[in-house]
Order: sequence, then C-alpha cells, then structure tokens
Amino acid sequence: MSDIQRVNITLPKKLIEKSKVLIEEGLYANFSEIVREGIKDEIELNKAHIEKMKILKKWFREEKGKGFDASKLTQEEIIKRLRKTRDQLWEEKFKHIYG
Amino acid sequence: MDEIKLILDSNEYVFYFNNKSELLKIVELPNIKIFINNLIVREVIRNIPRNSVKYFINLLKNPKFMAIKEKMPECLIEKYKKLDLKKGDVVIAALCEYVNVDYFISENRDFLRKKLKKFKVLNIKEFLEMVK
Repeated sequence: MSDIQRVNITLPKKLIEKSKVLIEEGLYANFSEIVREGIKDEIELNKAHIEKMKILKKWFREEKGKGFDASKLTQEEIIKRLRKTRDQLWEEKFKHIYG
Repeated sequence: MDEIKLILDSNEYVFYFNNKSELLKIVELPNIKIFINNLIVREVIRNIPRNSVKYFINLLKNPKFMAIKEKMPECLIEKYKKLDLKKGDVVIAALCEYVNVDYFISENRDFLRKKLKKFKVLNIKEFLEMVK
C-alpha cells in the first residue's frame, strides 16, 4: 500500500450527489474509483501534451541561465550571433551523434 | 484550409521576442502545426533575455507546437551533408524532411532555397502573403 497516497479534494455538492448515483447503479465500487478513473481519462486525453512538456522542461532546464539580451542588436547582428550559437550547439550536443 | 506543417527557424522566435517578427500571426492561423526540436529551442533560449524564457515556454505550450526528440535518420543527415549544408543546418533540414513539413520559415536561409526540394523555404512576410 506504500504507493498509494490519500488526498483531500473539495467538490461541489451537486457533483457528489450525481456521483452517488453512479455508485448506487453499480458502475463504480466507490467514490475513489470514480476519481481514479476520471484522472486516468484526463491523463490519457492529454498524453501528447504531458509528453511534450516533459521534453521541453528537460531542454529548458539544461539551458537555464544561458539567456542573452539581443534587443540592442540589428537583425544582421542577431543572425550572425545565431549562426555562432548553432555552430556551438553542434559541437556541444550534435557532433558526437551526427558528426 | 488543409493542415499546414512548418518549422520556424530560431531567428523567427528571437526576432519575435525583440518585437521584430509577426510570428504570432502564424501561430494564430487555423490548421497549422509547428515543429520544434532540441536545436531550435536551445538556440532561442541562448539568444533571448532570461526574463523572456518563461514567455517562450508558454508560447510552446500551445497545442499547435509539436516537440520532436527523435534522432534523425542517418540517410537524411547524409543527404543534407552531401548538399554541403553547414553543420547544424543539416539537422534542421533533416528534421524538415523527417516530419514532412510544407514550409521552413526563416529570415536568413536564402542559400537553402536552391538546395532544398522537399519543402519550400520562405520568410514570414512571404508566408503570410501566401496564406492571406
């Protein structure tokens, strides 16, 4: 049972009353089961988004603190700087994979 | 309108965060899917102010953005190496073909236009003009 955690949730009374009908009708064993199934459905529905955010957070975490204020640069200077960044990233992250 | 698949080069995001790009007009288009990868995201983060980084991740939360983490197939990497593309550009061109995009949007890829046949290379102005 160590992988189970108890949580308190607050719900509108109407929702609880309607949930009771589902239990009385035998569709769910208890209120916890309704909540569990509802959360599982939400996770399944948003699986692609959850996966995307996991990937993005990893990339953002690894680049933390590496920002640069390019607002005073001209378009040409920004493009030149980006070229340099692309070359740096190639050396750091991609050369060993695709080099 | 049929779905349009595209990749925005890092310069488009950096210009957007410097108020020099109409990137949002693309994001707001219906039936649009925008692909991003490790290289583009890292390039952008390294070239926008730290306080803009949270806005960048918020932008990418939009379901129209798809993050690609897969390693590109060797045959695609080799194909673009043979076309003499510069180091990192090989990865971007391979990604474009891998996800089968219709357009690669960039403000600085004139030299790519002649070399890439599988998809069109346009800048934002040209693209918005075309979909108008």
